[in-house]
Parts: sequence; structure tokens; C-alpha cells
Amino acid sequence: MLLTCALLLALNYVKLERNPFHGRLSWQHYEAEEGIKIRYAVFLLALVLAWAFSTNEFNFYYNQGHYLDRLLLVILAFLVLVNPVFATLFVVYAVLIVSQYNYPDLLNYSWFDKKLLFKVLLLFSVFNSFSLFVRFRPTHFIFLTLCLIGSDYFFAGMSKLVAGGRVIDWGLKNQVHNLFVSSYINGWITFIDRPTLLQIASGMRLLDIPLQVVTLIFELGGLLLVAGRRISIIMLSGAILLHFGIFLSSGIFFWKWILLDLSMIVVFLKYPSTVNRFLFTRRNAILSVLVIVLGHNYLSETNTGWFDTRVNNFYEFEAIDTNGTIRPIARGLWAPYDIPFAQDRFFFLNADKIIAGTYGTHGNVGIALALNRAESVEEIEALWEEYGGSRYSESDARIFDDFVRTFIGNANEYIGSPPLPIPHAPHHITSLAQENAYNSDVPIETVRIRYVETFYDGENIIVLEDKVVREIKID
Amino acid sequence: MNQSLASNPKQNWRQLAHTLELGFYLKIILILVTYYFFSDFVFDTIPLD
Repeated sequence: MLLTCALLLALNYVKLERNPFHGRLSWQHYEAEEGIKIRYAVFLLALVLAWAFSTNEFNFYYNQGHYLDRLLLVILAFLVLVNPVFATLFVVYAVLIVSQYNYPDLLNYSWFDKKLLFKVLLLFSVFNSFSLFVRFRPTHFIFLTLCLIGSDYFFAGMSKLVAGGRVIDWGLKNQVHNLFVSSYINGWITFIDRPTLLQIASGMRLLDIPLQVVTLIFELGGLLLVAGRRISIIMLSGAILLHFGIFLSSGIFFWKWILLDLSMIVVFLKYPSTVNRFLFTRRNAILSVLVIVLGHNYLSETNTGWFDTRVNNFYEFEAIDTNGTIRPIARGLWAPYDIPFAQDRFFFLNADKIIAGTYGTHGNVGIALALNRAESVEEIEALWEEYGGSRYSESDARIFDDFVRTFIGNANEYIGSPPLPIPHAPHHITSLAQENAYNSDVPIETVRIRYVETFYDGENIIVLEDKVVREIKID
Repeated sequence: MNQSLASNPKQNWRQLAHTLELGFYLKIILILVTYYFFSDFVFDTIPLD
């Protein structure tokens, strides 16, 4: 990859009479025809990813800060402004850096919040490389970027439409206020006292259907991103508002998507006549629909079609330190593995029957609705028994033990002299630390894992199960 | 018209391709196909090396 980029740069910069490619891989060449300064939009995406992954927390699992890699990532992001070829080097390097979190693979590290930005930069790299031979306009790149963005939104909406037996099921029968309660149980807005929160949730129940319909409109609206300048701005603005709504109600923050959407809106506002003439044409609108619809499983891997239930099954981690004090471990302490620990899908740890996914979600409309109809603990327990299933795996649990032992064992060595503190970018999922949470002041001797089951009966949160399922001694 | 088609078919095919904007569609297909293989390579192959 390095050699390819070096060759591309050489072809662009070497001034030989017989070099027909001279100057073709430059921003000037790329932007000359339409005048859209696309370099700033591409630079913004690189900067967003550089910010996210150059400020990530110290990786105690590898016991590495990767400071040189972080620096190189930032330098490459700024070099994008010099020449578009650096976008290719940047995106490949960033993928390599983020790929460190794929291991151990049983953590199922999610790329969902960032993959779209990587995809847009990869798309740009392809455009740029072909610019040696073919003349492209910035609007060609923006057109396919809108197809990528639209595809992710559209199929997020489609997966909700097909999640139930009928297309109206998700919009009319889901109970999105349950997500609000589940997020609270999992550490979001814990500064609000429980009675107040349950009152808010009770009020939110009235808004379930309107909120779900609005969600469907803006997600399915991804199909219309090339339909017209005004409609595109409305849909992208709606999507941004949707992300803020999701953040407020669950702590799940798609800030990278928001900035990508915003960059498109700025281009449309800054170059209205150019985008109207070259981008928002009838031909492009029809073609974008075809590309998005036919490109399913190819442009988009989005699946957000689930129902929010009243039950939760999750894990709490506790630190038993060398003084014998027991304190909860905040999920953020596991950063940069914050996403898997916020999603909390460690169902291989215990033999109990599991019924819900992250934050109480369930993919089966029948089971989800039955769980949401249940009014008593007895009913819930009967459903749990009937539809739950164990995912216990001792071999996976041992791999997980090893991860925890390595991560905490290395973190213990930094007590009193922590690694270089770097203010990190916002996490994708925010889970607030408890008041008495472990704060890296004393080495941890044992990590204790509790398995918790809860049921929200519409008025109270009832704990059905709370037990220790694993104790991991730190060497 | 038929006479001119017969007399200069190459130029007319070019004209037809231009009218149908075939160049644009070919460019888009070229980019999409390359993007598919390139993203597969970057996300799936490079991190394993």
C-alpha cells in the first residue's frame, strides 16, 4: 500500500515531458471544474477519525500507548490537505490502528459507529486513484457518498420495518421508552434519582408511537438524499436531530455520523447552484435509488431492527483491591474497549438463561411483545424459562478471564504513575461511573463479576436476579 | 437521418453514448466495483497480515 501511494505521488509530482499524469492527483485538478472545495470535507472526516483514535485511552491489554502511531495518524490527517493521495494512506493506517481492538475476538468489538466514515474515505481513495485516467467531478464523489450515507440510514429503517411480522409493527408496537429505562439501568443519566426517572419514562410512554414514526421517516428518508437539495438538507438535519434524541434517551452518541451529515449540509449550503446543476438531477436521483436498493449487503451492513423490552440481563464488574475494599468498576475504565463493555454481551460467562440483548433489546416481535405485556414477576419468569437460552461457554469465559487478568494486571502497574493523560474524544456509548466507583488508587487483587436480571413493570425496576458468577484473581 | 447513420456510424454511436450519458454510468460502475474489492481488502485482509 505504501509503495502504491508513493508511486501515485511520484506520478503526480514528477515533471517529465512524457508524464501525462503530472498534476492529476492534486486537489487543484480535482476541484478545478466545479469549484467545490471538497478537500475540506475529506479533511474533516480524516480529522474526526484522527481525533477519535489518536486520543484513545492507553491500551492496558497490550500495555502500549502507541504514541508514535497516534502522532503519525494526526500528521497523515493534516497531509490530506496537501495531497488527496494521503487520504488513502490515512484510512488504511487508521483501519490498522482500530483493528487492534478486534482482539480478543470474543469481545465482538463494534465498528458500527465509525465504519461509515471509513467507507467514505475509502470511496474517496478509489475516486482519487482513478483520477489518473478518468476525469471525475467532486459531485460524482458526493453523489456516491450520499448513496453510502443513505444506504446506512435506509437499511436501518428497513430492518425496523421487517423486524415485526407486519411493516407497521415496529412503529406502532415498539416501546422506545423501555430503552430509556434500560439505559438508566446500564449507567446513563444516573445522576437523576430513580422516582424522577421513572416519572419521565412514564411520560415518554405517550410519545412512543410519534418518536418511532419520526425515526422511521428520517431513516427511510436515506433513500431520498439525492432527490433534491432542500429535501436532502431536511433529511440530513432530521437524522442529526434523531442522533441527538438517541443520545439524550440512551447515551449512545453517533457524533461521527453527525459530523459527516453536517459536512454534506455545509457543501449544499455553500455551493447551491453547483450542486443543483450537477448533483441534484433527475438522473442522479433515480440512479441513487437503484444503487442504494440494489446495493444492500454491499454498501450497508446495518441491522438495527429490534424491539425494546422491559427486561435486562447484564453484568456488573467489581474491584476487590489490596485493602479488601469492594467497589464497582465503571464501564469506562475498560476503555479503549469501552464499546464491548458498554454493550455488555458477555453471555458466555454463566449458564443462566439469557432472554434479552444489549439494553433489553429482542429481535423477535412475539417474544418482545409478550415480555412487554407481562405485568407480574411470575409472568416474566415463566416467559424467561420458555424463551430464554443459555450461551455459556467455559472456553470463551477462560479467554475472557485472560483478557481481564492481562488488562487489570497491567493497569495495576501504573497505579501512582498513570500513562500520559490524553483528553479523549467522546465515547460512542456513555455509561456514567457510580459515585463510589474504583478510581485506580489501589491495585486490584480480584475482579468480581455479578450477573443481574431486572424487570421494569411500568412503575418500578425489580431486580429478579443478582449473583456473583465469576471471580478473576489478578496475578 | 438513416442515411447519415449509415454514412458515419462511429460518430453516431458516440453521439448516442453521449446522449445516454454512458460515460457517467460506466464511471459509477467502475468506482462501485473497485470500491467493493478495495474495502474488502482494507477491512478484512490488511488487519490480518
